[in-house]
Formats: sequence, structure tokens, C-alpha cells
Amino acid sequence: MIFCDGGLHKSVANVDLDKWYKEKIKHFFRDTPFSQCFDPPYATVEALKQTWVPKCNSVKCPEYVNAVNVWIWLSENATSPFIRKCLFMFIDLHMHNIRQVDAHGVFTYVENDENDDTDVIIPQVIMDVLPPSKPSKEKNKILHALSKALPQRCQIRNLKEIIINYVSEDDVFFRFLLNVMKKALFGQYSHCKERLSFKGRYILFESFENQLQSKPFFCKWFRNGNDHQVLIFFCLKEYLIHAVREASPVLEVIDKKYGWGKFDSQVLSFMDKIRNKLNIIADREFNFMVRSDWIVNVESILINAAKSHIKLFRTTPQVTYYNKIHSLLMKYFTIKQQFNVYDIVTNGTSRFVWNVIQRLYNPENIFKVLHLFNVPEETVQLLLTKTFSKEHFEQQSLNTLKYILEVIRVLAIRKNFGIYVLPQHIFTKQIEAICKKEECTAADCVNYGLNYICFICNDIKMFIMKETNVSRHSNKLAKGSLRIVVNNQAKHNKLEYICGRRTERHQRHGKRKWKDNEAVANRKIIKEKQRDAVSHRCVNTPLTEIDMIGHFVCYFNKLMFLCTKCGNTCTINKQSLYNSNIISCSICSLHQKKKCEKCSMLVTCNDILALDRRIGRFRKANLCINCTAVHATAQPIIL
Amino acid sequence: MSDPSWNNLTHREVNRTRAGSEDIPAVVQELLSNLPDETQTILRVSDTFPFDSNDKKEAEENYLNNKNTDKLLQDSKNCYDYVFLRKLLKNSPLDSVYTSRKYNEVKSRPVVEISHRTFEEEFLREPKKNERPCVKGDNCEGKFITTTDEGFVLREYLKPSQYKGFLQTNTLPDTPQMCLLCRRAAVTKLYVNYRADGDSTGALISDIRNYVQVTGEYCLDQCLLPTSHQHVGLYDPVVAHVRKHLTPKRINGIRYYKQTGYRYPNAGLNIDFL
Repeated sequence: MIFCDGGLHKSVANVDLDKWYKEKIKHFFRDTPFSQCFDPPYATVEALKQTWVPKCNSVKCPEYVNAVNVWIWLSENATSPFIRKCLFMFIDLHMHNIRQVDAHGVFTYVENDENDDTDVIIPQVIMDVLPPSKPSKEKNKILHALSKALPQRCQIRNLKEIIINYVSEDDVFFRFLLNVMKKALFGQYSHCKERLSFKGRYILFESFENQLQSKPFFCKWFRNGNDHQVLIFFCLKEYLIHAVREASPVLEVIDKKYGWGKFDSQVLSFMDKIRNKLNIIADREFNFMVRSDWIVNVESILINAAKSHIKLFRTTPQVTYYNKIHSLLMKYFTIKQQFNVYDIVTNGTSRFVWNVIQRLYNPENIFKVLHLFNVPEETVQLLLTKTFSKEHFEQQSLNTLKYILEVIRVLAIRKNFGIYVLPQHIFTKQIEAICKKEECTAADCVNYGLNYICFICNDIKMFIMKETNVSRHSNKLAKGSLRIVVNNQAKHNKLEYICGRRTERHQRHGKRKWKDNEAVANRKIIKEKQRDAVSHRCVNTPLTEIDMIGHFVCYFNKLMFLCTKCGNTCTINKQSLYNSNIISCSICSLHQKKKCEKCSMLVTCNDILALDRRIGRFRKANLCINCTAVHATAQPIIL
Repeated sequence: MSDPSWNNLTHREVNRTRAGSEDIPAVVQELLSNLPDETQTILRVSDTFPFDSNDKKEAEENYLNNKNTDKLLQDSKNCYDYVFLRKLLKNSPLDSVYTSRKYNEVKSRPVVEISHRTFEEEFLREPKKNERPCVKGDNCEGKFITTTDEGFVLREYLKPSQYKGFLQTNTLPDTPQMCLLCRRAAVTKLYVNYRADGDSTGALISDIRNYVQVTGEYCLDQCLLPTSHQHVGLYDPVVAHVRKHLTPKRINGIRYYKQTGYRYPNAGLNIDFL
């Protein structure tokens, strides 16, 4: 039994004594005269070139100095780019020792093994930064800064303020930024063709250690420099291309979809250029007492690069052709003072269109049934080829336009609706949760998952679990459906549910109604008339019933399912997996009653850090509010 | 210019009588009889409906008197379309838009197996004698790991259920499969593709899932997760493939990859293991 990061493990001790790159270079140079130069006592051949001469007059470790010079020589002369990369990484590992020897002539072995967390977020970059991601409500500073560097509408303008704010507020962000800058300037990424030489590394390492690592210094430096934001902008860009390359198939896909390769090669070539320039400056100024500002020197290259900004992604949602036609048609009817645009479209017609479109693999083929409604064949062809435009409206009868409007509306529903079968393990958990909630058997669950959606006003009739800062109502105890009524004028001799959503009336109840000017008031009246028409249609159309058990429903970008713990309807978000290994609402777990580990009461508990003597490791213990008040200040407590 | 006062609004449009030409065309009317019934489940209706007002009485009478009247197919202009649509409507809707499907009608649900970290690590090595290499051969992800210039083809990955069968009968599945890294890469590829295309098929992109935030398993941050705004065919965390997170190792002459970049979650999180 050995201790690992994750606690006790039954496994064979398999401790890595050396870093992978050290192992690699040792293996590569194993039968050469350099084989002994990577480990103490550093007894190796004499270096052919003394690039590094320690500043200290009394050097007590000449073997180490010689070994470092051998590494430098090898890094300049090795033919394999991979081995050169490994050698540079190895030199970086020894940077603290080199500086110690420079200052005192002797060193106590310290590895420059800073925690490099930059690569940990690569999956998050794929999920939350690359398009078509949607900015999440919980703002992650690092991901936000990275999204600024995407090849889309240039967002460098406010980058300076954002970076300064984030650096001042968040240490993690500051550490990430410094690491990203260091990696870009040193050329530590796998894709770098040009890497910073030892001389450049030595000087910049000193700058990072002595100056930039201090937050106030960094903020002052960044605020005062006119073009430092360009450098950071490109460092973030290079991180993005690195992340995409490391998550290998992503590069292939987004290059095909958006042409990412163009952005990749632009950033790579400019960053290689600045590293090349830094190498030239480093060669020239390595032994100078007073050196020029290296960063300012390279920023001129990046300013030119920033001028040829590449835009691959949109920052605004793209309106599809059919949505555009829909809004143009609505405007056309408004001009004609026709608000009840669905008067000729009966429920039967809508059902027919929906039932056909439900069975079509290519939903746009639905336009082919329009001739059944006496829509001219030419118009159908224009719609299918996406060449139908507002110039054609006048040539059509109003009925034709109304049918087109309806079909486009149903098409939008078809494209934005999905009901997916959940895997077995989630389904089983849902049934268990419902049985627990409703105190019934699995066979009796049939009706507990039924709920409704109004396909006319797109209103979802489910009580969705939520807990926001604004409202404390989580809908945890809610049952049934929201805003639905029984239609007492239903046909077919059977009862049916219809939408009970009320029309919003801004004009009638708005406080500012008489203060609006005429144009605004007219606009509001028109909106109300349109809403009235929808509302009138709404109360005459049966709701669509959906079984939520074992299903995952997607409706206009809202993804809903039944929580696997409480059985309530909830939407999926990042927190759905924070408290469980199966998706859940994450709200029911917050208020779950647990047994206090001090007083054994079954109440809502807090997590307190504790050392559990039974298992011999730290863990979070459940303590009730009273016990928390007593013990929270003495964390970690012993159990 | 019209007066923006409320008086205009009170003058609602009265439902006009519908002209004959505006009714549903005969062909559609006939096809409507082929449409599946609208399903709604009225869970409970009170037995004692109070008839205390004329309005309510009238409402109930209206409900009882409304009866569906089927119309016959009259002059269909295009009988081919009619037949085609009729056949189409008799088919089941596409799975992803089948609104009337009940949970107990689903005959087989996809099974997503749990793949533990220790189990997965068994597959991050070269194949031995009785094992097969990754089906992708020289294109195996194992050959493109960025922490080495001498990548190798990994062993074929077997799902836990398949592995159990392999241990019991010493026979491998009929068709060769991908290695673990190629699987992860394929999931990542499908994930990005799915989102970029805005696809709406109900297909799952992974038939294995990983445990997260559990001692000895993976961190949630390093996994691909379902997104909050688009269906991606993923409901459980699956480790995202990052080439840099693996480092080569040789144990007893066999080359392995260690998952050095995939961190262990902080000890002590109180998540139920099962």
C-alpha cells in the first residue's frame, strides 16, 4: 500500500525519478561522451564553447558549469528538433541552480518545477472557447481572456483593462498569464520551429523572476507600455493554437469547418519571428551591462501582424435564410395591417405539416407539400433553392404567403426540437428517483413524467428546477404543469389541454404608456395585435405531450431532463455533474439532509475539512450548522 | 395616423366566416385521417362537475356536440404525392422528433459502460501475444504523442463487458477495435463536429464513460461534458484526449503510456461512488 495523489492505492510503487525529457535525453546520449553530463557529479567532456560564464568569482562547482555549457552546446547543435526541445526543457529545469551559481558560486539543487496548469484547461478550451460555444453565466476569467484571442471580430480594444482587472483580482489568472507568456517567448510549445536560445532564456527568466512575477510591477508595466497588450494578445493566440493541436482531431475538424489552419500558420509564423528576433538581440546584448527593452523591440513585429487580423468566426448569431424570410413576411403583413396571419391555417393543417416534417430526414423538403395548399410550383422551387425574396411577395396571394409563413414556423420548430432516448443507467436512476418522490412502484411511474410544450407560443409547461440569486424558488416541491388549462371546446369528444399563457400587455398596463411618442405607441399596438393573434391561436391548439422519463428534450437551446436524484425537471449545465457521476439538477443535493458526523442529527450539513483516522487521509466531513459554528474555525478537525 | 389610445385595441378582430377556398384542400383533408392521433393524457377529471352557471352548461354541451366528420378524398390533382404522403405518414417519425414516444415503448436503450482509470491504464501499452493492436494501425494516436518521438501502436481497447468475455473465453471480439486513445480522439472529433454542424440525431458519441471527482479517478475539468446549449450526444463525462498528457514508459520491456497529465481529483470529495 502506498500513498498517491488520490489517497491509498494498492499497487506497485512506480515512482518517476526523472522527468520524461530527462529520461529521453539520457537515453538518446547513452553511448556518447555526453552520457554522464545530465546527472551529478556531472563528470563529462569539456564543453567546446563556454557560453555561460558565471558572474561569481569563486565558483565552487566547475563541473556543473561545464555540464551546463555542454547542454547549451548540445541544444544548439543537436539535429533532432525533439531532442533540442527536450534539452531546452532540461535547461529550464536547472535555471534556478544556474542563477544560484551565478550569485554565490555554489548551488543547492532545486528543480524549476513550477506547477504548470496551463494545459489542464485544454478540454475546457474545446468546450467553452471554441465556437459555437456560448458564454457561460459563471464567468471563468482565463477562458474569457482566451476567447478574446479567437480569430473573430477584433477584441483587442478593451483587452488591456480586462487583463489588468483580472490580474489584480485573481492569482490563478496571473499565474496562467505569466506561464503563457513565458511559454510563448521561450518557445516551449511542441509546434515552435524557433526556440529561444540559452542566452535569451537566461535574461528573460531573470526578468520573469525578479520583475514580472510581482503583481504591482506587472500591472504598472502593462499599463504604461503602449503595445504590451499586443504581445499578450499573441501569447494567448499561440496558447489557443497549441491547445487545438494537442487535442489532435480538433485541429482537423475546425480547419475543415472554419479554416483554422490559416490562423494557426499566421500566429505560428509571427511568434517564430519574434523568437528569432529575441535570439538575435540576446546574442548581441547578453554580456551588456545595460540592455535595451527586448519586449518593445519585438512588439513592432506583432503590431504589423495585428493589422492583418484574421476573422474566422462570427460573434453574432447567424440568421438563417428561412428565419429571415419569416421576419420579412411578418413585416409585409404588418404593413398590410394584417395581424391575424394564421387565420386560414387550421389546427389540422399544422398537424399535417408537423407530421410530415417529423418523418423527413431533410426537413426543408417540407416545402414540396406546399402545392397541396395551392401554392404555385414556381414559388415552391424558389423556396427550395433559397431564392424567394421580398420582391416576390407582391406576386403571391395572401393565402400563399400565410401558408409559407406557417411552414417556415414549423420548420423552425423541427430544427430546434429534439427528444433523445437516454442511456439505460440514467433511465434506471430516474425511475428510482420518481419512485422515491411519488412513493410508488416502477410500474406506476407511467404518468409522472408527462409534461407539455406549446408549439405555438413555444412555452415550456414544466416546472424547471432553478435557484438563482434573484429567486429562492427552486420548484423543488412543484408538481404537474405550468400555465395549462383544459379545453372545454375540444373536438373529437375528448378532453384536451391547451396553453393557458396570457398575452403580455405593455400598452395597457405599462407605466409609460402616455409618455411614449406616437411612433413608439403605434409600434406597441402592432406588437400587441400580433401577440393577440398568437394568443388566440394558442388557446385553440392542443398542447404537445412529452414523456420526460428516459428522455432528454431539447427545445430552442434549452436542454431538459428529469433529475436522477429528485425526479424533477431540470436543465443541463456545468454543475449537473459536480455532485454526482450521473447528471442531476445539482440543486436537490445542496439541500439534501445528511447525518451530522458530530451530533448525528439528520439535517442540512456543511462540508468541513477533517482528518479521518480510520482511513488515514483528509476528507470533507458533514457537520450540522450548530457543530459547524463550534468546529469550523479549527479546520481540519480530527474524526 | 391612428390614435394610439386603448379604444382602438378594444375593437378586436372578430372571427370572420371562412370562405370555401380557404378550407383545407381535399387532399390534405383526406390525408389528415392518416395522421396519428394526438396524444394527451388527462390525468384526473373531477366526477362532480358543478353545473351552477349557464356558461358552464353551454361549454359542456359544445364539447359533447363537437364530433369529427371524415371527408372523402375528392379530386386529387397529384395522386403520386398523395400515395407517397400516405405511406410516409404511416411510418414512425424520426427518433429525434418522435414526440409521442413513451418511455415504456423504448425497446432497447443504449448501454454506456463505466471505464475506470486503473482499467484504462491496462490498455495504454503495446499489445502482447494474444492481443490485437489498434485497428487504425500506423494512424493510431499512440504514434503521435508529443512527449516522445518514438510513438507506438497501442493495444486494442475492450469495453469492460468485452474484457470479461475475453478473460473467460480468451477470445477477442470479431471485429478489431480502436485503442483507448483513438477512442478518446474519436469522441473529441465527434463532439466538435456535432456542435459545429448543429446536428440533431439522437446518436451517442461514446459507449464508455468515466468516473470523475472520485478518489483514484479523473478530474471533471479534464473531461468532455454535455453542453448547456446544444445536444452533443453525450450525457456523461468522458476524458478528453490531450496528446501532451501522456508520457512513455518502459516496464519489463513493454512500452506503456502513463497518464501523467491527467490529474487525480483532490482527496476527500464526498461523492457517492455508485
